[in-house]
Amino acid sequence: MQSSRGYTDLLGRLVRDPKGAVGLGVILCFTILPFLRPLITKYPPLAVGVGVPNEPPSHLHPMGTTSLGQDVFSQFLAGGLVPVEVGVLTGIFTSLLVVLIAIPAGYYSQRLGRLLTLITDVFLIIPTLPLIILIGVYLGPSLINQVLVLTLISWPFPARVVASQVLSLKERGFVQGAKALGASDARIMFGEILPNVTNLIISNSILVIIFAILFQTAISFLGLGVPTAPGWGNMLYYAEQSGAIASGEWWWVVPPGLGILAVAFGFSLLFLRLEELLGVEVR
Amino acid sequence: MVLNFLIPRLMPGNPVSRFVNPLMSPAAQHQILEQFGLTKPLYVQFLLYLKGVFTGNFGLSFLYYPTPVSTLIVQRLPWTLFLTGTATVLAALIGMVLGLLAAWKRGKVDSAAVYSSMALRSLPTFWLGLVLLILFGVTLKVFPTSGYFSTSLLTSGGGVLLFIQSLLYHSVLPIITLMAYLVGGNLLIMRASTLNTIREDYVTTLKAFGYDDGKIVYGHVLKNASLPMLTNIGIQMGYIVSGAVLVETVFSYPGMGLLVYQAVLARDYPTLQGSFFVLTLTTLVALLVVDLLYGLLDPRVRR
Repeated sequence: MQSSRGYTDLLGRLVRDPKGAVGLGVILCFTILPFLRPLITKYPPLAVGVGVPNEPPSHLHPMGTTSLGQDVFSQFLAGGLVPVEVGVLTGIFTSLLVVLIAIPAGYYSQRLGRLLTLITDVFLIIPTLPLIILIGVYLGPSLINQVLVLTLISWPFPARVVASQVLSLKERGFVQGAKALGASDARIMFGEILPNVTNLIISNSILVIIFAILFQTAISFLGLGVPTAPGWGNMLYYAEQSGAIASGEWWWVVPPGLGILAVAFGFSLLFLRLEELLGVEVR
Repeated sequence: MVLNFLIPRLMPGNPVSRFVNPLMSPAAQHQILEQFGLTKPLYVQFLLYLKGVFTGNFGLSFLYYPTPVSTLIVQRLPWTLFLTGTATVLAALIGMVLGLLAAWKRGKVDSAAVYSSMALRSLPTFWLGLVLLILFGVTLKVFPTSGYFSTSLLTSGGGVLLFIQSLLYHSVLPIITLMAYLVGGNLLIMRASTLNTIREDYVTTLKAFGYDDGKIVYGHVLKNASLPMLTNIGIQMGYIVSGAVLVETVFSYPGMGLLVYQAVLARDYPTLQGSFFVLTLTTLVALLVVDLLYGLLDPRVRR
């Protein structure tokens, strides 16, 4: 069992390795940049006509301008917060759902565990993106709704993994011992079993975050995101809509994608390092 | 199936607003709603939908009125199957070979392979498509930017060979885009399972008998190590369909993905229901094929 002290220590060991340090660094960098943006560039991200429209990178505008004469560099700096926010919140919500659903399911009955397997099988067959789009359109465009949709789609897989782990922990000595001592079910589930699956839940939640970041940008790119949120997905949507592709305006298209790539890769590095540290095999 | 019916109907926005003009008399408006069967109670609509599923009749599309949804699907599905099928098979083969090499060679080759496949998995699919379009379609003008064959072939005649050539030519960029993510995943799985396989006793034995590396890898390790990857291909199905939506939208490739996207924007219930049903069915069939292949490769699961 790990105390909170154990997790502070974990953070230290996480960044002592280049993978963990780089991963965490990249993520923090793009999370903080939106707040530092006013210090770096004088153009607000959405201000129209701060430069000549459709201009390649120049001294004044290091990443060029959009068709409305907006500064791409400023938009790029501001664009990382939304995907990271949506990704991390989805990761947290999914983990909460997994704790509340998977632990009781694995603890109480095999039948519930099998139900989870069935649900994941169904989710395996349903076309994911079309489903996200449909539910998203139904709920309406807002960042919190994006989090809800992505949570709804992503919880079954980690839940299945955790439930099967709980099922095997249930038969272990310490759980049987606690039972014999008359501990309540809730006490056993959340006091004894939960600490033993925390590592599994944490590393799974990072996979969920990567998934959520990629899908959040994809939904936004399709024009089904939040039109006013300054995210990288939206940048790409507006670029495509105003014909930046056909006229070859690479400076408008390349930066946001590299941003997404960097953040998702950062989380992947973090995942690799966590897997080494926590010693869990996911999948 | 129930989900397929309910979800489109829960969406806000009136599907017939594109046909119903507010200036029309209420009676005329009602008549149009009736024509689409939208005035009937929900359960009657559901029963009609169930009947449609079993007879292959999904009603008329709102967007491409009056084309039946089944006609649309029959037109579009082959293109999506062609794109996704080719991408899946190529990605499996490439991932298999690279994963095997990475695990066998170890060292620098291995870590390069691991990091680059992680990067491939972090790439937003649609963005890769956009960048390839700008680079090869617009700037270098080596590949076409949209469509699935040259429409000029229709007017100038042209032989079957020319047609096939044009088809392949138009599908190069979409297929590469779809493959990127899949190759990354396949490589990682193949590498992990190869590492497990080469630790097994029979490989050590073969080595001890002095078999050369190539023979061991291609004759024995390959087959055993590729089983987990086959399972992974089944897991990838959901992604492949999502990828098809994005890739077809980016390349204006007229497949099921583009159809679904257009149908969502237009609140085209019948098309959405039909497409969802067919896509789900296709995924099921694909999973079945994967299972059958598994049985073919691994005699242990055959009964």
